[in-house]
Amino acid sequence: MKHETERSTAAAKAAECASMRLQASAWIDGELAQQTQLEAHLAGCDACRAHAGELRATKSLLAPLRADEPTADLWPRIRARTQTAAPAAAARAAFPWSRMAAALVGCAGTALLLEASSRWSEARHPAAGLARWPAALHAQHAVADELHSAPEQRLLAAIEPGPKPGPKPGPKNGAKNGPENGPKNGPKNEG
Amino acid sequence: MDLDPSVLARLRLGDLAALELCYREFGPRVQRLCRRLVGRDQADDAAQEVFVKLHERAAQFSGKSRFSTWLYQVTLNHCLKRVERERRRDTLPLSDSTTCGWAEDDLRAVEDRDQVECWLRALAPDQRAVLVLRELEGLDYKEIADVLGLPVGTVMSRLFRARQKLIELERGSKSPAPRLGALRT
Repeated sequence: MKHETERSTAAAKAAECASMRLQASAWIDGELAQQTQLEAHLAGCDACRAHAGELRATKSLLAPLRADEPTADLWPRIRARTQTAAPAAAARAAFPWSRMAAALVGCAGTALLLEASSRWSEARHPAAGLARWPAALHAQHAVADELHSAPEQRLLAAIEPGPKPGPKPGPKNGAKNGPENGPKNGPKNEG
Repeated sequence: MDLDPSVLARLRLGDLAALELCYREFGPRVQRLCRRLVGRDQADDAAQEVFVKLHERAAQFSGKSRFSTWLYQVTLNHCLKRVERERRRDTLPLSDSTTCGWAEDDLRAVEDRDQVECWLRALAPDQRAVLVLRELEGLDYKEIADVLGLPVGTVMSRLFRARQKLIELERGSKSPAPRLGALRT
């Protein structure tokens, strides 16, 4: 119990120190509005006081860079580069992007209108819409239906121990060999 | 000090003379920032590219912020993209303290300035940016937050972490090789 209390006290102290060190960084920049709590903490915490000193020292560490002013005059090179870049930029600016965009929007709008009117017409006369389909497309759909139904039939055949796929049984036979009879035969087959 | 409004208006229209005035006013600041962010060897190239970009995009400046803040943003974005491109090309980690060289003999031979630049390069780009803007450009937290588009609290914590890292690097430079592993975090 005593150890636990000590541990939690130490954790609280560590958290306070971490928070104070973060604030110390702003304090040395003169950006901390509330200084009283930090100053009280630093007065009683040697480790944080030392750390604040190290943070402050980073300012003088960077001092050699402050005196190092760039001297090269880059203007002649910048002027040369802007003059090279200018024709390309002018060409980009001269290209009628806005007209192109307007034309594209117009085309897309027309396509949408046509599509909408066709759907509206189909909704009113479904058969007429279907009739517009070419015969070849109907044929393709028929083949696709056939292909889809074949695996389904194979699957049914595997589940049902009844007669192999062939002519559909009548209502009586269907009741005997239907899926609802499956579970009765299932365990035997599994064994 | 910000750019004169009449110069800014001409700059927006692509006037080359206005660009030159802008360069005379802000060139050294941009060059210095580039030097801190991309390193001495690439700084001039990067600064030129920033002004070419400025020439092409001045019309996009909305005028909501100060011109100097916008120019800092353009420069920082350009430099950080460049650093990222270099990093990808060289497949280096973002923060690579080993490039500074830690042997005591080397350290004696290296000038203070080069050493500090080396430490700066070892910082993660986001930390480097806040430290440079604060310590070398003298911006306050609010200005840094505006340039980077971050909350002031984030600026404060990034700056703290940058200084922490700098302290670690400085400590590492004073002690020989055994500390290296501990520094690579």
